[in-house]
Amino acid sequence: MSAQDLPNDQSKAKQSKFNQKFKQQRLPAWQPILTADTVLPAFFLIGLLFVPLGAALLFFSHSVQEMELDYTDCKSVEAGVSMPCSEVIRKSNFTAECTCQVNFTITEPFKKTVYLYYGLDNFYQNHRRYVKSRDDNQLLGKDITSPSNDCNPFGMSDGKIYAPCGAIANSMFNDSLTLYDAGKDEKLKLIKTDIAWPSDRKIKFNNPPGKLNDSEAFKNTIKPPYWTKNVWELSDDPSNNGYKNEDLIVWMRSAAFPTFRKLYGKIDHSMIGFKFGFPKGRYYLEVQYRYPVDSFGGRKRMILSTTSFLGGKNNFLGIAYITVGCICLLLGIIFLIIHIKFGKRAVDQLNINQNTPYSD
Amino acid sequence: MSEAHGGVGTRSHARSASHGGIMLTRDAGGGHGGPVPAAAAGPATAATASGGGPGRGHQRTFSHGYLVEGGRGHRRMASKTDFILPAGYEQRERERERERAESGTGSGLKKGHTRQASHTDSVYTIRQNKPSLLRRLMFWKKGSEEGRTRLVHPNHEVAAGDINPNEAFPDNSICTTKYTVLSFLPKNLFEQFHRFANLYFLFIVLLNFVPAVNAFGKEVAMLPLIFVLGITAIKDAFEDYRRYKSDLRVNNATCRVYTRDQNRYVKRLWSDVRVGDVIHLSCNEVIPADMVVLNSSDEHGLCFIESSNLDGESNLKQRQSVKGLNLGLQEEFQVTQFSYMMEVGPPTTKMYHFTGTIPLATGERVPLSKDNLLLRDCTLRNTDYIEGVVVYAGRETKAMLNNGGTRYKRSRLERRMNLEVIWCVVILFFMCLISATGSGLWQSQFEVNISQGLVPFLLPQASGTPLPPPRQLNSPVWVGFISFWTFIIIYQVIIPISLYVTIEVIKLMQVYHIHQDKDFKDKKSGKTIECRALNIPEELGQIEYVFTDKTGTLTENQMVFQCCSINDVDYSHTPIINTSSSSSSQGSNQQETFALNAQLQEELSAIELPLIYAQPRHHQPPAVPQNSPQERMIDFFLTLAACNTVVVAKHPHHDQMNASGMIVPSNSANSSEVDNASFTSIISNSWAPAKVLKGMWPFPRPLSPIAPSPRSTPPRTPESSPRYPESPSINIHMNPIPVQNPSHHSLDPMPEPLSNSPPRPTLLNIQPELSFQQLPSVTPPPLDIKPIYEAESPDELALVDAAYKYGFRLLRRSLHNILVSIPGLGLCEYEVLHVLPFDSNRKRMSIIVRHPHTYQKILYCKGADSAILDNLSRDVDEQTKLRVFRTQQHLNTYSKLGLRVLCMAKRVLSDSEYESWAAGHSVAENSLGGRERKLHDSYCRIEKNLNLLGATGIEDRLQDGVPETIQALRKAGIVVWVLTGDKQETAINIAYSCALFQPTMEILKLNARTKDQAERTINFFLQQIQQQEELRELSQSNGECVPPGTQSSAPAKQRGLVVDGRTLLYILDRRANLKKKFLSLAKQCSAVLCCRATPLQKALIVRSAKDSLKVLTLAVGDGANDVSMIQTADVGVGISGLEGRQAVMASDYAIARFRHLEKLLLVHGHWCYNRLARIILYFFYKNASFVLILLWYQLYNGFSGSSMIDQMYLMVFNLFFTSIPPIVVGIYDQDAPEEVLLAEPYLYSQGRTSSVYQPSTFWFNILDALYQSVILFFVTALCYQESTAGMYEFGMTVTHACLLAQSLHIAIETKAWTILHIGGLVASLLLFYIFGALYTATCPACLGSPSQYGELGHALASPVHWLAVILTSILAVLPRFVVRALQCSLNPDEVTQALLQHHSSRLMDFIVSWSASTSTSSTYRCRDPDTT
Repeated sequence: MSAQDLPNDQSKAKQSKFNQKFKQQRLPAWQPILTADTVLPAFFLIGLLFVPLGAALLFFSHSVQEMELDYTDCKSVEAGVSMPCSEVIRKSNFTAECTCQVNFTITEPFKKTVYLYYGLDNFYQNHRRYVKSRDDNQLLGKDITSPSNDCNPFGMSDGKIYAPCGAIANSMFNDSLTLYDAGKDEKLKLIKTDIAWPSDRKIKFNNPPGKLNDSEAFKNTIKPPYWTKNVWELSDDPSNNGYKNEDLIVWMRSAAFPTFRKLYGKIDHSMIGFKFGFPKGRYYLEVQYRYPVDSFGGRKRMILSTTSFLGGKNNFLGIAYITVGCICLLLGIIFLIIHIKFGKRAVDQLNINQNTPYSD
Repeated sequence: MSEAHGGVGTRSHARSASHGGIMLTRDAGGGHGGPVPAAAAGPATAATASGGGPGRGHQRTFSHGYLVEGGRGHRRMASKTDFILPAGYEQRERERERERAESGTGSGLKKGHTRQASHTDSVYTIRQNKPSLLRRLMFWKKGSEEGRTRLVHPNHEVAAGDINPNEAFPDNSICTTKYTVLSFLPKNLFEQFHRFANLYFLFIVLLNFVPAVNAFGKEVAMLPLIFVLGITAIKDAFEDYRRYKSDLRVNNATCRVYTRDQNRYVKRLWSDVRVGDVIHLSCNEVIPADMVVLNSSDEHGLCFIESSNLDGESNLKQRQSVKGLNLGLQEEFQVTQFSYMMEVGPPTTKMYHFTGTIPLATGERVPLSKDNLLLRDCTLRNTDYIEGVVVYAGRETKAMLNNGGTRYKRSRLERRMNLEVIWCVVILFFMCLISATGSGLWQSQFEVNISQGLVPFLLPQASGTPLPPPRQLNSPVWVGFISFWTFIIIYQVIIPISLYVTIEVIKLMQVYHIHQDKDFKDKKSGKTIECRALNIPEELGQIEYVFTDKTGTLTENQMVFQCCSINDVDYSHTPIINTSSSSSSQGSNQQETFALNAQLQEELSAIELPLIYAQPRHHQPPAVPQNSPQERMIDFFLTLAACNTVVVAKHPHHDQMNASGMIVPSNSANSSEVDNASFTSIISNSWAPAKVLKGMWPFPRPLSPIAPSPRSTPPRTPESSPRYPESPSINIHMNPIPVQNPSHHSLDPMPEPLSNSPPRPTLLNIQPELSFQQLPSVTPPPLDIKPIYEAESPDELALVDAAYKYGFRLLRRSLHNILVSIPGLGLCEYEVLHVLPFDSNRKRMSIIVRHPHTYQKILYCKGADSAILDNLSRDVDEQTKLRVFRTQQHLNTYSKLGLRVLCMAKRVLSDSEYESWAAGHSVAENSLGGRERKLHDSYCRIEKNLNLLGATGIEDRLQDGVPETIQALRKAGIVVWVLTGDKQETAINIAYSCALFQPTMEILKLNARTKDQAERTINFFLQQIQQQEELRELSQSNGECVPPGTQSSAPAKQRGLVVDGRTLLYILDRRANLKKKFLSLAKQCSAVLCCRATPLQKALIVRSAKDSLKVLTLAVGDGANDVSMIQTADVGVGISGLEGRQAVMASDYAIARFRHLEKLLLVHGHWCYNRLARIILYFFYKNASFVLILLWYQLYNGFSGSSMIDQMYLMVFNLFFTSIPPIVVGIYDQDAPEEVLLAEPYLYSQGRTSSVYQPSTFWFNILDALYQSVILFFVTALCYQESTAGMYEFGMTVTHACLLAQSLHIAIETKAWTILHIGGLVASLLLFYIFGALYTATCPACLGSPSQYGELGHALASPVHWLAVILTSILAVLPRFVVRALQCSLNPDEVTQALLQHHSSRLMDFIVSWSASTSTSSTYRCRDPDTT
């Protein structure tokens, strides 16, 4: 009993002692003074950590292989039409479809899983009113009778709700990209699933209950004005359709900068010859050209890339780390010199101060 | 005396002029004191003749030298200062008043405002007492109410069922709370939106509701404002709750109220007391409501109250029961007999203004005045019990009506901060302008295509707004205009909304810790520091000038009688320093303060007093030579004992009624029997005719020949109140020669306490050791019980005490008599004819008494040496001249010793002389215009041709640690001015002993007698100093080897300046234009001593230093005379010493001892300033860097006002994530530990020169913020270039990096790490993660903003995120780190140097002790082999 009480008392005493010290502002304190000798180790430590880290990052970045292809101005492949697809669709007031092909060669085989991205330039997906122009509740699959005001002017039309509503969905990238092996003239298979964030796929985007058609799940809705298909016609795969269509999900995540890329699909490495990567050779890209970009001076790109744990190719991180590391090492040396040269003097100064009377 | 009633209810604020008049008329009787802006010295007329006043309808008159704030619209006034109110003074005043009232001169009641009145009015008027807006709006209504009197019926007249006629008046419950549960929200919000900052943020929130402008979700945008309002509301609610609690406590106190049903007093709650109730109060009880005294235990219906609860004045004030009512016998007051209605005036805030009448059945009217009124919250003292009827209750009591708010001061740092906030507004404006321009320009690229809907990411502007046609909606100009407002919302964070709240929290905690500091606890008195102002702790760290009072501040204010000079013999007394006994609060309780001088005792006992006074009583002068040394000695002591305003308290007090209202005669009788028994035994031991003293001492009511008592004589029964002969009665009771006044039947042995008439306490609990034979055995027997003396000034106590010790015992003082026991003579009752009160211009007080034996009219005068010596009679013999000369020599010696000297003098007045003066005096007293002056002249007329009796020297010991403290303050670079009322020699000596002046100092003295002389002297000194400076510079430039900047070669000669009050008068005179010169002279001196300074001068000096030199001033004082100085200074510090609480009430900080000032300024002040300055800078940096990041993002989103950081984070970031560490640093960081700060006072200069927070440091911080934001944004952007990163993913990284950078920043700025600092940082990081986890995991679609679902998890799982965060945060703080390190190693500031030194010395200690221990261990080992 007493044995139990004792530590309790002790802890209480300790606590009250702490309380006293706290109230008197006399808590034990560590008072570092940032003199040259105390900051020296920090600089060297950071330098010695950052430089190798930067080198490693550079190495990883270099290991990423990437191929970029701008197809904005590609020409229509249809016979008799020798103008760029962009003009074709503009002339038809964005109703006509245009197909174009771009050839490219892979000189070095890609050694890992290859991802297919589309890239847009000068597309301000981060514009304030654009970013907000969506209704998360609708995309959650909730039964909504009127979309959020943010969706305007792409919220409702004639009493029918745009599905999905808002400017983001309306402006969804709808070129379809297909890769062909030029030698075999064989279509490369693309995996169009698992390209969006799992959290988005599983929770943020849901279809309304019922069958994916205009009488059940999407009753009382119409397709957004720019769209050519209804939302339940985006894919043949029923699990990748409606609001759960991953292209839509990927598009709905606004990009940070006006120049961005979004994942379009993964090369299916189960194809013959693709088991260990992307073999070198001649390929061509066939584009169902629907998406106009010249009205805002945009560009469209197709990117093939492997990834490292850092994601895509990015030399900057490595360089930055090496630079900062070097700066720190340099500063460390400078402070070492300061310490050797002036460290003594500081003490001398102090001694003078100690003896000199205060004068004011 | 005037009572300046401004138009009641209107805005004009009345200032009651009390003693100002005398003060202003200088002793020369010449023109008014120059420094006083509006010399309204007159009495009643002064109120109306406010000519020369500052206009604005302020009627101001001067209460006693108070500095009046120029027309600010609040009453500020103060009160009694260094003078002493004679007990009889007020009384006579009242008599006159009544006289006038009865003679029907109408306004009589309004005029007789005594000084006390004004003087208690004051404390409340210190507080700002603006009428509420509502009240001002309703003033016409009030006005009509004002004129009406109210009828108060005694409640016991009302039968149980009847409607109480007093129903209309509020009951006695009080409610000081500002809010009720219901009214809290609207009222509190209303008050909070008085703040400009809150209005600004409200504006931002409202802006967000404009559809075209809105940047965030409306709910989210309100978050910060709601938070800030909420915190403040919680604080207010808490304060209000505390008020509510105290209200409850007060309301639930009990008192005894008479009930008709039971025909006795019953216990009742205060809140249930109603107007008209009759209440019984015992001694030391607190008065529950404003009530009129009907009956008192005192035979004359007197009672005393102490108003320290109300105004902090601890002296006793006399009140009197209503006279002229048939209320039965004085002893057996019957409540039922009080059946009068009372007409009283409406409740007012005027503390000592009360009028009313009681109409009698006969048609007569009995007037009621303030002297009949007991105020709520005062304490009944010195009276057994009283009974009274409540006239004002609850919120209508004067105490409640005067309850004002607290003061609000804005510190220099805060003013500086507000300036920077304005800069932030400017920055905000430019940021918005740039962004809006960018927005318009960017929009113009797409102008053509937008309207066709060809730009998918640009939506046409919402067409909800009707005004501009749709085409123009997308025009760049319109878009730019709209986005300007949007940007204001987005960038609002740069104005640190949380800064105000944070600073308030920090200051509150700083004050809490100051309060908790054990070092501020005075062991003797148990008092500790009291922080009354919560919002200026950092001012303590920036003080440049300290103005201090001397008495009670630097000294103990425990006067010890030390020397006296009688008949040109110097008798010195050795003080007994007894620390244990000095703990008692009342000086009179100290038993041993000094040892009696044996020689003086001997000489005293040798005087054959009976021989001198054993004359047959007749009106002729006695035969014994008037001017014998013996008589002088007797008179000297008589002056000590009688010429004062000491109140003799009877003690203890008994009330036969117990707390529940039951009369317990047996109990009471028992105790009193015991009491009596012990008393009798004491008496019988020493003095045979104990019976004489025992029981009631009849009080003769002599009629003053000057002011015949105009009281309506109440019908009395002869038994209870015998009519005394109208002739002046003299009662001398002596053992050897018993003199019996035949009419004094009460000299008969007093019967034992009767059951029906309860025993009154014995008159005096003193052992009347009066026997002449016993005198030689000098030391008083241990059983000696002294009466309790209460005086306003400790000097008087010391003198009375000294007289008591020599056997001249003041036993009783009433209005018209003084009872003194004289050794060898017994009790002598002197009739007091006049009391000429003390004032600071005459510097003396006098009392005119009629000698009991000789019937001589004698004037005893006591005062400052100059005041007395100048008025000695001229035509005297050589011997007397020699005596005066010798005494003067003694005086000089005394003052050189640092003693406070007083001279005693007397003058025997011939009857004709007296009568002619008295006639003139009564004219002066009754005159309406210029009464102050006339009274003063009248006083001076009689106080001349004095006969010097002797002089005294009283020591006022320096408090512990005063020299050290002043030394430290001066080392800290603070200029210390001592402002004292003492004479120059005394002051200079004290100045030396308290280290204000150093022996090496050159002392400059300014003692000018004319204005020109003053100017000449100042000019001369200035020239001299200039020459010296030039010489010094010359010598310095000759010695070239001295590097510039170090002035150590020829240290500047230190100077001390002494100014006397007279010279100050010229200096502070506006017309003389000397102030600037004087201040520039004072600037050259490191210490200034102003002696003979009046309270007003003290305040004016502080004011001029504050205004002309633009310095931060601190004033320390302990007494009422320092109040104006304390209020004038930027920081007022009160010493909670012996002299009441007035100074404390007016102060911002109240400390127990002067030496506490050292730690308060050097440690706490330093810390508070340092912390707050750094935190404010940090806040500006923090918000600026955060906002700039958003600005950079606009470059990438077409200046659309989009932010990559989610709006929730945007709002919460500053409020929660980054606010804990700065708060912790703001409260707990210590740039140097206490020991270092105390050891090196010069470190204080950091705050004094505001070196931490300069305008340049602000811009330096903004630049740093700019750099950091660039790094944080662009480096992160580069990390994410050409990636699939979403906007919020990028935003999360930037937010995280920003949080880390800001944490690292504060880590660099942290000077001393305690567990709290670490805890704060960890908490803020944890908060970020926890909040992020909750927010991004629970809400797939909420708050109307793009969902953040899964963002944090995704970001934290990404290596790029971490790499970017680490890189940018380190890179961001790198420059600051480098700069700080370079500063510390190459050019450390003073604090760092001191710290380094401290550390190295500690290290040295460690090494020494370590080497010592190793050496011992080695010797031990050495010895080891020997032994083995």
